[in-house]
Amino acid sequence: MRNTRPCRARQSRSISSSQKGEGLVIRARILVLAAAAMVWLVTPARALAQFGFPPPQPPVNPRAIAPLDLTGYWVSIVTEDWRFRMITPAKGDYASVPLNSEGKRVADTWDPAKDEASGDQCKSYGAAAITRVPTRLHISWDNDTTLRVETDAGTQTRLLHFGGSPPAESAPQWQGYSVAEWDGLRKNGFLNLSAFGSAPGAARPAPEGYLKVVTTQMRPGYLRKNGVPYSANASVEEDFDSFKPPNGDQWLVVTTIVTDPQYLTQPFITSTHFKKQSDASGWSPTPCEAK
Amino acid sequence: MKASSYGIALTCAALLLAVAASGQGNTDAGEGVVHVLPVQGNVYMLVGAGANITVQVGNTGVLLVDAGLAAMSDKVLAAVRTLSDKPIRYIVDTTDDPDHAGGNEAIAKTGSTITGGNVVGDIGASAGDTAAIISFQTILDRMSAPAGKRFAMPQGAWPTDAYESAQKSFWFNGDSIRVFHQPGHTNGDSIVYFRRADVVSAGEIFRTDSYPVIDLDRGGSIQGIVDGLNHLLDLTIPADDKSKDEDGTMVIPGHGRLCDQADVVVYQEMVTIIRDRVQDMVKRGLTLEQVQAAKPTRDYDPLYGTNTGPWTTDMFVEAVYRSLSAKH
Repeated sequence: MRNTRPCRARQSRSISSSQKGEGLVIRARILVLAAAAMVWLVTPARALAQFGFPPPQPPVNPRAIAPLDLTGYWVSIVTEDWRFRMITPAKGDYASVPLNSEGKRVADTWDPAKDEASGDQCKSYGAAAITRVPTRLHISWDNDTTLRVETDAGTQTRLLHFGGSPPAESAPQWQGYSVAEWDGLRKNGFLNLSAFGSAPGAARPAPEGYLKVVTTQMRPGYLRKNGVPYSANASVEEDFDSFKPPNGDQWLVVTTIVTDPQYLTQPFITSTHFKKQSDASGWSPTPCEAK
Repeated sequence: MKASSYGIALTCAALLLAVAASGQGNTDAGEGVVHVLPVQGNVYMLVGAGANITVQVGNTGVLLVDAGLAAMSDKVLAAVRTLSDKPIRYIVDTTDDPDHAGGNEAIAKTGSTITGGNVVGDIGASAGDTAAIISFQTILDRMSAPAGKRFAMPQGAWPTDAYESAQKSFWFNGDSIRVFHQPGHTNGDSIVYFRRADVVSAGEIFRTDSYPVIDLDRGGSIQGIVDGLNHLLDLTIPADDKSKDEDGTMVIPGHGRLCDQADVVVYQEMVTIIRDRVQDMVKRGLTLEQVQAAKPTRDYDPLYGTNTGPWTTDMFVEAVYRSLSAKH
C-alpha cells in the first residue's frame, strides 16, 4: 500500500512534461489525476477500506493468536457413554451409533483376536475415536503452526496442522491428517486481529474462539472398542473449546462429528470432556488393546 | 457440557474423574478430597464426601442436595466456596443416611435462611441464622426420635422444613426446585428436580456403583426402587439424537458417576429384571437360600455385585426376596 503513492506521482509528472499547449496540459492533468484516482480507488485493499472493511493483515501466526491455551495435561472425565467407554461392550451392541446395514454387518463380525494377530489392535484408537478413549492428553506446540496431541492410552500422537490442506497422496494413518484453524475469531468476514491488542503492553482482551480440526486420510477403525466401524472414507470434524467454572478448574470439551458415507446413515456426534491437570501426574503410556 | 450451555455433563464411579483414566475405583470419601464437577447450568456435583452432593449456586445463595459425611463438612464447605461466596440457604436431604445427612448441622450453621417481614418477627431472629433443611416428614421423625436417652441425630441436624405431601416445590436462583417424595431405599427418601437446569438429584434411588440399597427396617422396598427409577425416566429427557447424542437431562446418582437418561434406563432394566426373577422364585415357593443359590443377579454381578463391604450381593438378594415375600 505504501508504494503506490510515489508511483502514481512519477507517472503524473512524466505525462505533463510531454504536452505543449496550456489547455492540453490542464486537460491532460485532469485526465491523469482522474486516472490516478481511479487506480487509487480500485486498489483492492483501498476499495475494501472504502466500504468499511479493514485493511489486509500480514500472515498470522496461529500460535501467537491462539484464543485458547490448550497446552498441558488433561484427563478424561467419562460422563457420557460410560458403559461403552469404560468397559468393552458386547459384540453387536452399537446403540446410539447411526450405523447403516453394512455398518451393522461389519460390526457383527468383530474379532479382537484377529485384529491382534494382524497388528490392528489400534483400530479403536484412531482419530475418529481417540477422544472417547479414557485417557490423558498432553497437548503442546510442535512449532508455530502445529499442535501436538499425545495420548497415554494407546500411546498415540496427533499432529494438528494450521493452514494448508492434506497432502494429495499419502498413506492413511490411524490419526490421519488433521488441518486446524482457530474458528469463531472472524468479524465481518475477517480475522478480528484487533481483538488481540496491538499496543505494546496493552491489556489483551480475552478473545473468543475455538479450535476447529478436520481430519481425513485415516485408516479404517472402530468408533467403539467392540468393532463399530468407520471406513477409510470417513472424515472427522472436531471443535476444541475450553471453559472455566467459578472454582477455577479448566475444562476442555471436544465435540466430534464423524461423517462416513460407507457405514453411517448420518453424522455421529459426541462431546467429550477433559479436566486440566496441573502437571503430568498419572501419565502412563500404555499400548493399544484390542479387547 | 458444552461450553456455552456447557452445562453439561459429567461423571461417577465415585468421582469420576480421573478415575476414569486411572482405573481407580470408588473414591467416596476414600481419598479425603472433594471434587467439583460442573453438571449443567448453575448446578454442580461434589464427589468424595460420602454420597454425591448436588450444589446449585446463584445470586440468592447456595442450595445443597445432601450434605455428605459429618467428617467431610469442612472440605464440602471449602468446595462450595470455590463456586460461590453467597450464603448457603437450603439443604435438601434425600435420606437420613450418615453419608447423606451427616454434614447437616455443620454446614447448615454456616448459612442463613431467607426470612423477612413478619417471619423473623414471629419466630425470632435466630430462625434465620442457619440454612433451612428440607426433607420428607419421616426423615425428621427418625432423626428426632429418642434412641435410648439421646436423639438419633443432634438437633442442629434436624430438618427445619419437613413436607408431608407428594412433593414440595419452590423457586430459588431463577430455577424451580421440585422435591418429590420417593420411597424405595427407605420410606422417607426424596429426589430433587431442577427444572430449568434440567438436572435430577436422585439420592439412593439410583446409584451406579452397586445394587440399590434397600433398608427394609426403614420402610424400603424393591418395588419402591422400581417406582423411583420409573419416575426418573418420566422426569428425564434424552438429547435429540438428530443433533446430538448427549446432553438432555442429567442425573446425579446417590453414588457413582454423573449420568443421563440412558444410564437410568440400563439400571432400571437391571433392577426390574432381577425383581421379576426373584418374584417368580417367590411365587414358586423357593426359600431365601434357594433363591440366593440360584443367583438371580449373576449376569449383573460384574458391574454391581460384591461379596464384601456394607452391601453385598447376598444382602441385596435377601432384601429383594423379603420385600417381595413380605416376610420381613
